[in-house]
Amino acid sequence: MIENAVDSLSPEALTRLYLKRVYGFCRTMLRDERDAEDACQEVFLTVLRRWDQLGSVQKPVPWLMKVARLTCLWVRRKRRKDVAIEEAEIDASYDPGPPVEPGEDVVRIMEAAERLPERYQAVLVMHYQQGMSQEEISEAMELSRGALRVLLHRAVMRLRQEVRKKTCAR
Amino acid sequence: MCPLSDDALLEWALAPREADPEIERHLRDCRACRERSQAVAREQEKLRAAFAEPPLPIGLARGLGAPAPSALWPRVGVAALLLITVAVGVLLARTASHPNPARSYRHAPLASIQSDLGEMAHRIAAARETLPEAADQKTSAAYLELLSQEERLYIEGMAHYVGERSALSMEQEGDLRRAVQEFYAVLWTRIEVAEASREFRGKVKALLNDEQYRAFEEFSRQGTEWQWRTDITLLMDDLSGELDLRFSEAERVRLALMTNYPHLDLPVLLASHCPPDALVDNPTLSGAVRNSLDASYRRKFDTYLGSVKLARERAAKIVRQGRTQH
Repeated sequence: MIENAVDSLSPEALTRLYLKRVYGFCRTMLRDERDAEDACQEVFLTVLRRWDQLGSVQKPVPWLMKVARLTCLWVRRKRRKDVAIEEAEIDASYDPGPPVEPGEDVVRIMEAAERLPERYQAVLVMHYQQGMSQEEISEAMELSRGALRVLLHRAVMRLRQEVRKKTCAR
Repeated sequence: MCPLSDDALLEWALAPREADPEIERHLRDCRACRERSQAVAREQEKLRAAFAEPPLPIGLARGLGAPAPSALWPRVGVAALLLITVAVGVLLARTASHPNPARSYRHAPLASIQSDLGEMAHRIAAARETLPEAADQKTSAAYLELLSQEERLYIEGMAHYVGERSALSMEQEGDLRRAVQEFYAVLWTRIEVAEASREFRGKVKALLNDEQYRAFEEFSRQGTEWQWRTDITLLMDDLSGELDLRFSEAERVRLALMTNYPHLDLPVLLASHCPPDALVDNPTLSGAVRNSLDASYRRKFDTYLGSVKLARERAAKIVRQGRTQH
């Protein structure tokens, strides 16, 4: 994976390098092509607007993902489709069940992911799709490494639970 | 009985490089656990496939200046990536001899302390918003515990940072802890903060050697700067969410905050402090933010200020009761 210090790139080069990744993140978080395109444009407009302040950003990916996540949050709020699910509502005693089966339909997995709290979705996308290290994700999510580990762990457990719920309902 | 829990196996699968070598050893020796670990590894593959990156729409690629995908691109892409890798390598090598203070700051232990404190500040702000009018004993105790956790985290961070420069004795650490707690108690009464700060600095100076005191001052200075930035970020998140701001609007609000948000001249971070309080306490700041907003947002902003005031009163009541009981 290539990491470039922002001060060694032009805004255009940064956009060319990371557009696909940012779009991938937004598309998965928003589940809508047009919303994802708008969000993606906003992310790179933010890059342009803040270009002067980005001199000290050494790892563009966590920074871009942070901006992309906030942008997606804003779009989701605008759509008002989201029902906030607080982490506090998650029952600590639940049984997440066994790992997701290899034969499970990916569409069902993504539908299950969609029902997770936004924070869980974001870390899952950063981990599984973007292949970001835990250090990078914790930077993007503004969390300590320990807190991130817990969040990622819970996200997978909760995803298992959601996939199983859906499978049982079939 | 096998020692590997489902949790441990998942931890192992999520960060195999950071996993405990004992787990690897156990997996080699234990067939049952190895089979379970294989199921978890297959799950990880499945999840990677489910979250696969979607293709980039050609229209977006053109609009934002990225090359549209074509048959030629994979090969050109590889060549370009190689060139970029070489170019970045050369650039990094050339810039390596010119250290940037911001870079060393990012890797200093302070960054991780601040990250933990930042997380705690988020939790406190979120908890305060949900405090009921008459909090029961359990809620009050939970809220007070959050505040004392923040205080502890800060003091531990400070002791760690100062001790890294020149090790603190047990006695020094205890005295430093007490001095900070006493100072927090003085801040709570809000009497002569400037004088109390001077007294506190004098007390700390007497406790520490020169090198430790320099580290304390550095921690304090960087902490204050960090709190200022974090407060603005938290406030921006809050305002963007509560007022449902558009990007253009948010930028104007950010500018108003950057220009008017007060720099606190304190030797320690302000524990139990929530950034929106500054809007209630400081009419110049709230006026600047209000004026930066389009007229259609102003009513929402006034409602927001009202809710901040209410949340602060509720939190203050709990803290007052807690302090009285102690």
